[in-house]
Amino acid sequence: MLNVAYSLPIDRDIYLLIGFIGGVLLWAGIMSYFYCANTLKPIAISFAVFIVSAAINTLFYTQAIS
Amino acid sequence: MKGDTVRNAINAHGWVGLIISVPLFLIFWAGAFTLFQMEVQQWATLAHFPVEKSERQKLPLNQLVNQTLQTLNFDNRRNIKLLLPSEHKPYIDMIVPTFDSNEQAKEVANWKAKQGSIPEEEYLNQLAQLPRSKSYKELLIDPANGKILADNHPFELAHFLDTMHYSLKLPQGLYLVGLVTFFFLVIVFTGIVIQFKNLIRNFFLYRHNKKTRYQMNDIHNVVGVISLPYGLMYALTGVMLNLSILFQIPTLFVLYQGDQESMVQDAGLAQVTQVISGKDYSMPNLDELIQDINQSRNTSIQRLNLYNYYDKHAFIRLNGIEHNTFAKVISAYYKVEDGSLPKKLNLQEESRFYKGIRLLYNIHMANYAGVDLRFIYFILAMGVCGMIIAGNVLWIAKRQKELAGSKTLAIARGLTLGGCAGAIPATAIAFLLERTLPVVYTYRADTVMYSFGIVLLICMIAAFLNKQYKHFVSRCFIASALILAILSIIDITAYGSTLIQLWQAQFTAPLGVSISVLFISILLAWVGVKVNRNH
Repeated sequence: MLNVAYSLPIDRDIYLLIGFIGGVLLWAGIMSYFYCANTLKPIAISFAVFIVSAAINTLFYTQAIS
Repeated sequence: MKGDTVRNAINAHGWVGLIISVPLFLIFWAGAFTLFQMEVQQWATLAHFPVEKSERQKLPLNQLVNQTLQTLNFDNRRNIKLLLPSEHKPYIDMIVPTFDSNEQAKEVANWKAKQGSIPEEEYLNQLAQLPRSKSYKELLIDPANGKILADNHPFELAHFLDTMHYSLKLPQGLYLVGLVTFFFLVIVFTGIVIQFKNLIRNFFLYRHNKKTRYQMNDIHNVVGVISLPYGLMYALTGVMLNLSILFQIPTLFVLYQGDQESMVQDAGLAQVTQVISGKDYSMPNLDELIQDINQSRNTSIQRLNLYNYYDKHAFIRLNGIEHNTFAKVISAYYKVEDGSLPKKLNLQEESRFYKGIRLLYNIHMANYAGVDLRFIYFILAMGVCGMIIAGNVLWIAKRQKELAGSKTLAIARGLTLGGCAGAIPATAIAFLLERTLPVVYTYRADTVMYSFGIVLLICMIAAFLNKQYKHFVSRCFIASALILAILSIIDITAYGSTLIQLWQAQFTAPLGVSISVLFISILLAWVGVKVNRNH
């Protein structure tokens, strides 16, 4: 969701800082969540969110370079 | 928290912890010593090159740099690094890039001679494409007379421990350490899940009269809870420092569509990219430049980077810490050609990203702190090391019965317990050799580093063969105590008067480190005997 969050009214340098710190914590948090999960359901949901996010970012990227 | 969730978290915590335990232990262990890197460096250096006074007449910096460069095959396509003397360090450290061979130096000189005979743009492109040199000289220089005291970087222990901390001294170790730190963050999170209900209730629980397994469990939990904010901070900042590339690449391509310059500007991370012009140019007065920046930015410049020195495209980067701040770093880029501080390269003041990252970096390195606070950091780092060993013993003790006599248990014991506890005698040997090897010995630094690795390997083999893990840990502690006791005796007998002389000349670190070595030796002997008694 990098590009969607990027449209928020926050200065770029602050956005980069929040993204960097938050990204690390989110990544480790999701991994810990997967380790603690009993079923594949939360993993499947997270994967679906990731696909949507990647699709949005790809759309932004292809529009920007074309 | 559901029972299944906690059970899964315990499994993940145990297995991930076991797999990363050795590199994680080495990272924390070396990191604890890195907190006192400057002190250890002074302890090693000053005993061999003692000085009488801290306030000495200094040679003009330009003269010192010029006379040093005259003795070397200097390649000005790369940058010189200068670490200036401070109140705690009387010498100048200078790293000079040199040509790999005389042929390479001649080739570059021949191209410079073609200046004006071919179009300017083509000339600069061709000059930039010439093969880069890789060699450099690390020099220790007396600022009073410019005399080179050592050119074989003989005192590398402090630097070695620092490198061990952030890269384990392995190829691509920076990313490996980043990955280990990331999994450390994961085990901190799973640890919180496991202990969530008992964080306060079991805080003072230590069942000393129970089996080893329960004792280790209690030690692991209590130290883990006490050092939680500390561990969380290190895990987070460690990943940020070592794996930033994983965030830079998607940010560059997704947010900035490959526009690196915009990204670097927003982040406040400027870099000199200008290549040499091939035209000789006179350099500014470095002492005056330092004085100007010191006054205008309320700092004491400690480090200089001289890019393309003697060239028209020369840049000078000056680094220092602003006085009366939380270790706010001043980094000024000076363009020699027009005597300006280009705004494009001096962005740090404006970027809150840079300020935020710098703040986290300062908290990680404790470079804002005095000896007292760094000592608390040191104790906490040792606590985390103890927690890792307790975790390993817990894992082994849990499976001692079901896997008795199996190769799996022996390998786990050798790799984890041997790798962790073995780092203690390995470090002790490295300290002893750093003090006793002759300064002129060419392979001094390598011997110190290899000795660390060899002792670590021996300990891993010993742990593999020794079924009594408590016995092994106890022997590691006692052996380290003996090595450090020998080091203390050498310090007192051979260097005692020098260390006292240095203390009187206000260089307190060398004697401080010597006393600490003696204290640690006694402490290790006490713990070793105690563990052996419980065995």
